[in-house]
Amino acid sequence: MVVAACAVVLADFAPARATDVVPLRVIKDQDPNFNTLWVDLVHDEILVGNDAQETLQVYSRSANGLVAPLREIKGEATFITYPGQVIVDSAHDEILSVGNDIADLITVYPRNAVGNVAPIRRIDGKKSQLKFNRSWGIALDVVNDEIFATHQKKNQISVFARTMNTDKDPKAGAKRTIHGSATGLAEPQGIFVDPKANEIYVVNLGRKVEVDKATGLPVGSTAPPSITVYPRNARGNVAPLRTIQGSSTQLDNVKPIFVDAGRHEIVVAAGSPTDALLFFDQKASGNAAPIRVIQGNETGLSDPTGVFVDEKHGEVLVANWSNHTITVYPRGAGGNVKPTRVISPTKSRIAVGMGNPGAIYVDPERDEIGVAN
Amino acid sequence: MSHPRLAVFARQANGQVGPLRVLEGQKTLISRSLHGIYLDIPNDEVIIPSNVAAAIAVYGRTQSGNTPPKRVIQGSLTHLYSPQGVAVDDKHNELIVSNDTRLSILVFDRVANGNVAPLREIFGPKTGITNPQGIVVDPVHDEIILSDEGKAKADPPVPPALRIFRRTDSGDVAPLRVISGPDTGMLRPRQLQLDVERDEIVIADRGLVQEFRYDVPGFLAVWNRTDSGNVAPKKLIRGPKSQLTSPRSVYVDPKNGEYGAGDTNSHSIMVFPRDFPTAKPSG
Repeated sequence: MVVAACAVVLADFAPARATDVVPLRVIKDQDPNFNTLWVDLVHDEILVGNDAQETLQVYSRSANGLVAPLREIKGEATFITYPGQVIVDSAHDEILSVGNDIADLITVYPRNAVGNVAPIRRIDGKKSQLKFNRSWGIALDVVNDEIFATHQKKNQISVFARTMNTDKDPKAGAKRTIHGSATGLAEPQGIFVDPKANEIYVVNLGRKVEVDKATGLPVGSTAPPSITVYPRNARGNVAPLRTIQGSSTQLDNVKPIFVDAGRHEIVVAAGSPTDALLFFDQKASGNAAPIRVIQGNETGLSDPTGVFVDEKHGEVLVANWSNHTITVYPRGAGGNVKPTRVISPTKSRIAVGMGNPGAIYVDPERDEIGVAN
Repeated sequence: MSHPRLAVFARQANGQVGPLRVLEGQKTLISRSLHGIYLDIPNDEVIIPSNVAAAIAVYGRTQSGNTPPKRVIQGSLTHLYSPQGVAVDDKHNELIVSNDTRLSILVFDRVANGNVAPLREIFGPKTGITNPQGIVVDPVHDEIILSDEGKAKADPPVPPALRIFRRTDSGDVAPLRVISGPDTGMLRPRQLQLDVERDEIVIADRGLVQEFRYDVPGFLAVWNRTDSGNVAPKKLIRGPKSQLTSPRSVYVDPKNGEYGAGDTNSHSIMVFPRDFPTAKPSG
């Protein structure tokens, strides 16, 4: 009966014959899953990374409600795959994006790029001298003309010349790296560079594997999540200047990080199911509690994975992965506060949130499918 | 990817639907690069490897939210190093793990907890293990079946393969059988399942990704469990209508006559009929 119900197209695919079977059902998100964002204060625009359809979208900064993007970068020529952190470099009129998961690639586009456009520069993290080993976070230091990247499975930060391009110079390498047992880096995610304070801020999820020198055997470990701070020009196996870690911090499943230089605050977003924005004093250290928290059912936060503080307009903007929205809060707000604006290209607040379904199971008793992301 | 979680959907979900429940958060220990999962129905548990923490975590079957695992295997005695696939042998009460960076297969007591040594490890050059991914155990025929991506850039290149070991093997042993070669069509085999009702092996092959273009798309393929050598699959789902571009994961649902596939590139789950007309050999 099932055979008769499904449409089947027969096709030969070397080396083995294949049947091109139309699926009975497909679970898939048709709307964007916002994974990251940046605000272009010069051109009054918001840039977001969308990993459901693998695009970069641009919205008006003052958009409110149900709105279409002003423009979109998408297509094979763009190399956009699992977009992690995005940045608008207003000084050079460029967009930077890092491809997470299988991508290991930093791409740079003209700021006003639209459609299926090729990047103007790339840093290919699959090259043997780079070996990104999964990068979600990048930071830009326009004062010192450098790009910083975190490597999640390598517990490392790499620093590149801003204009590095492995397509033109395939052997180009990092200017310096931060790596080693003293660094406290453990599955690093978001990164931010504050050239005024001359410091690097990194979020760590705490998991790592080290090889025991005596036995040669691997030893996995799981530490609480942390924020580690380094001198901007740190290199090698350097200890952090400060570490925020412990039960009072409320850090949980944290990815993005931003420094509000005007208020001297570190802002991070805790992912689902915590769904919170945590604000720390910029000089906080140890088991420090956040000085302010935005959290609660009124906030609209749903797996927040991008955060930006707009000092010019007094706003905090958040990309929410699990409800297709960008939410905006007054700078300095705390508690269970309603967003002042909610920006979304769809009315739907149902997100599939599939990501990379690396393993699945079926439960015939409970009539369920389990998907590991 | 950077949203690690176990999301559970209704089996007949279709389209843009949310999960019924989600297990995620720091306390769960669930971390990125999740390439294996096993539902242990008799024991009401779900087993998930942590690639980045070199750990195996065990949860209740319906556990959700930011809640800790029931048991965790992790530490210097475990030999865990980038665990990929997991399987449970309920007949012999054992947990089997494909162990990527160490290039081994580990066997633990099913209820092992903490920093514990494996009961057995299949490890060494005779095993041919090169890039271990999915794993299943067959307690009826006393076999362990491993999917191995091989290493195309090695000199000489190591082709992708299914390596079948005795369930009780230990140390540096050659596999009982190997399914590998150009006629298999294998490119990068990942999760696999044993269809015990039909005595078949079903794999998800992610295909070749070149410069982020899926020029050689992946597929689902089916072999007889007893196949050996350079054997073409008896059934293969592949092509544009299937929407498969880079499937990494697969399930077999004999009760409802379906295969499921998880696709990396399109971020979706596709469900196919288990029975469909097969193409005739060309020529």
